[in-house]
Amino acid sequence: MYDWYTMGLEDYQDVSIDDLRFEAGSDATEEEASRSEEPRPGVLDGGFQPLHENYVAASRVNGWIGAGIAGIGLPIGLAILIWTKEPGRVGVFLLIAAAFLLLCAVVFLAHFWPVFEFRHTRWRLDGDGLEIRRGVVWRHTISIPRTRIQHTDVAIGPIQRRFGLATLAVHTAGTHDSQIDLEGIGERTAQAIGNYLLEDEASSREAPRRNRGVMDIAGGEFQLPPMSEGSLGSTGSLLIEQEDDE
Amino acid sequence: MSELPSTGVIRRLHPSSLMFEIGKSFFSIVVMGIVVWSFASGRKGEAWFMLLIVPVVIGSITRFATFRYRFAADNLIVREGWIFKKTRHVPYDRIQNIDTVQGPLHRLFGVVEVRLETAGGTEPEAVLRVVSLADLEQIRAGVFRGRDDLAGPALPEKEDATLFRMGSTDVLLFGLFSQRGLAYLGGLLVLGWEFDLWERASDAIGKNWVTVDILRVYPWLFAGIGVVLLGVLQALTVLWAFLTLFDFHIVRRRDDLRTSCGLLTRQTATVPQDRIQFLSVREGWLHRLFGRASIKIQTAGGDSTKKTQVSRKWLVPLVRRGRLKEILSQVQPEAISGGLDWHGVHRLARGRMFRKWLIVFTIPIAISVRDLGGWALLGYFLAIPLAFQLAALRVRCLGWGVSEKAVFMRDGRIARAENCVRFSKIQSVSLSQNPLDRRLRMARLRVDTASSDNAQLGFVIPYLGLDVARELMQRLRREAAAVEFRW
Repeated sequence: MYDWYTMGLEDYQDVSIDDLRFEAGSDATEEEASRSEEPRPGVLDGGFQPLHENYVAASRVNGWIGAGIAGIGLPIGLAILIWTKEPGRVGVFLLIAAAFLLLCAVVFLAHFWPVFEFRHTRWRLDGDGLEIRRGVVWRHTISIPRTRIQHTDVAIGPIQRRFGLATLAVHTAGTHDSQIDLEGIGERTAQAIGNYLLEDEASSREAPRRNRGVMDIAGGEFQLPPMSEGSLGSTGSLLIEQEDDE
Repeated sequence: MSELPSTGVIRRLHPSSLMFEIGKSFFSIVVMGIVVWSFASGRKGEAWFMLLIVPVVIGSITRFATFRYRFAADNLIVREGWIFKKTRHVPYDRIQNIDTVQGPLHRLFGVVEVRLETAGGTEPEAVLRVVSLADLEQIRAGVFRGRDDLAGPALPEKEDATLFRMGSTDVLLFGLFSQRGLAYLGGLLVLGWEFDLWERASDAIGKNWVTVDILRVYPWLFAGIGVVLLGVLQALTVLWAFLTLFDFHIVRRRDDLRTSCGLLTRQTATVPQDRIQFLSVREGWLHRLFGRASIKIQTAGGDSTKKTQVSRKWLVPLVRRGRLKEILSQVQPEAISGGLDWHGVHRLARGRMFRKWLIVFTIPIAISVRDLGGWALLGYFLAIPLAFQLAALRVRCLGWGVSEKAVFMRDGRIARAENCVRFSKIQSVSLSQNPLDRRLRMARLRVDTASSDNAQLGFVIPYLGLDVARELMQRLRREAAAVEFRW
């Protein structure tokens, strides 16, 4: 349906999420579920993975929307400028030329920048945690140890949804990099990585803490409402779940 | 240790709280009033704003009347509010530090203001303004007992031991080193300039020809006045240091470090030893001249930049270099860098810094070309050695090292800092390269921690060789993943 977006992208390597096998019971398709007996996903070998192949296309849509806005706004601004300032014939020509060049640059970047981004973004997952490399001009590598991950989010925007993409946000307790985003991986890949990081963290955690004390004060003067998950913070419900596991 | 608080009892603030609450609001109202008054001067009815005090007082009374706290099995429960009720649970094992402030008035009533901080946000999790000293002991006991219960088998009881007591020589030096007086003077000059005070002053002096004449005849008198002023300033600074740092000492009770200081306003901070996220040993140029150093620590809670609490800003404001090791071995043995294998940065780093400084110096030279012509280029005779020296000094200091439990770095030229992050407190590790870094195969490594004040005390090692940086990153990543993070 969106084939025309991917025109010219046939050269790119097949970087689909097939490497990532899903556990039975997740949103895996039947075919994938049948393979769930196989060992853990290949992504866990620690090799660097590229983004989802649709990333370039989705990013281009974003870029083109921006270019479209510039394409409408620039002529209007130009018209107002010429109308009010009344530059000479040469001035008008120069202004139009500059605007045209600017628009060309925007379109060029909208079209080609995602390709560069795609080429320079890699992520990997291994026993120690998640590592992300990105940046075309300014390179950046960040590594998050698995044991330091506080929680993960998967966010999917409207354009990303069309392309089956998602953004995985990993939160740590750090101050400078408290949230690390991995944008443009497959929807289910994001889901799977998020779950994997958290699930392994939970199992390796120290012994569950005791009940958070909401129940034992219920009889006191405070008269708190009876416990329900809604009235508790997320820590509360999490801890109670852990206790049930025991 | 005082008797343990019974968990069921519901506690209230000290009766004098009401006075302090109202006093505090009254003070802000008065300040506001002065501002309003100065703007609306000459008009009638400027006293109307004083009516604002009525709702504020009512608010204070309700806050006092509804405020309750109590110790549950593993958390402190604070409840306040009349129409909108707010109940807050603060788990003991999440409390990062307990701070107290006791001003002269507080002392008169034998009460203290308590702040409990957890890792979230910059504001204290619970502020108890104010409780009696006996209650404070109970709060401490409650918090620490709750935590010990959670930690499983009780830790062996340790005696309270004074780790460090600041001598008066050190307090004096601290005051002199801080140069707070000069900073205030600078502020005053700027303020005066802003409000044209200097012009007015010089006008006044100009009219009074005697003053001008005296200054013209006796220039050394003018200089003398300056010197005396400077002396007074220094004396004030030292006085400030004595007021705030009077009887500064650290006591260790079990695994908590308790610092307290202050002559009029007594401040204490209790930091669980294990919650130190980041430790930094700092030496300014004056420190080095006198063989002194200071230790800064960062915990996860609160925002130490905003607070004036000296007891939290510095673990040890000033100490003889020789005693550093002894104190560190008590506070955080992992942070002792003695015997560490220090590594330098990339061999091209010096040249790079030199070029950077040269470019920086080129700007004023280029500007002065307009006035001085070709002579301005002589400025390079000064700029080149200076740039070289700046680069050389930094390269000599810049370095990193990894011990069995922590990663170290040091940076600086004449003033130096040596930072230490334990592997268990590393949150993430990142490498970044700008285009120049890429051309020279260098990278900048950053270790992110949960400390509240990374902007000022960051762990960033610049100018590393790319391969070295990658290797270090992988090592830190592995080490961090191997230990569980427990705030």
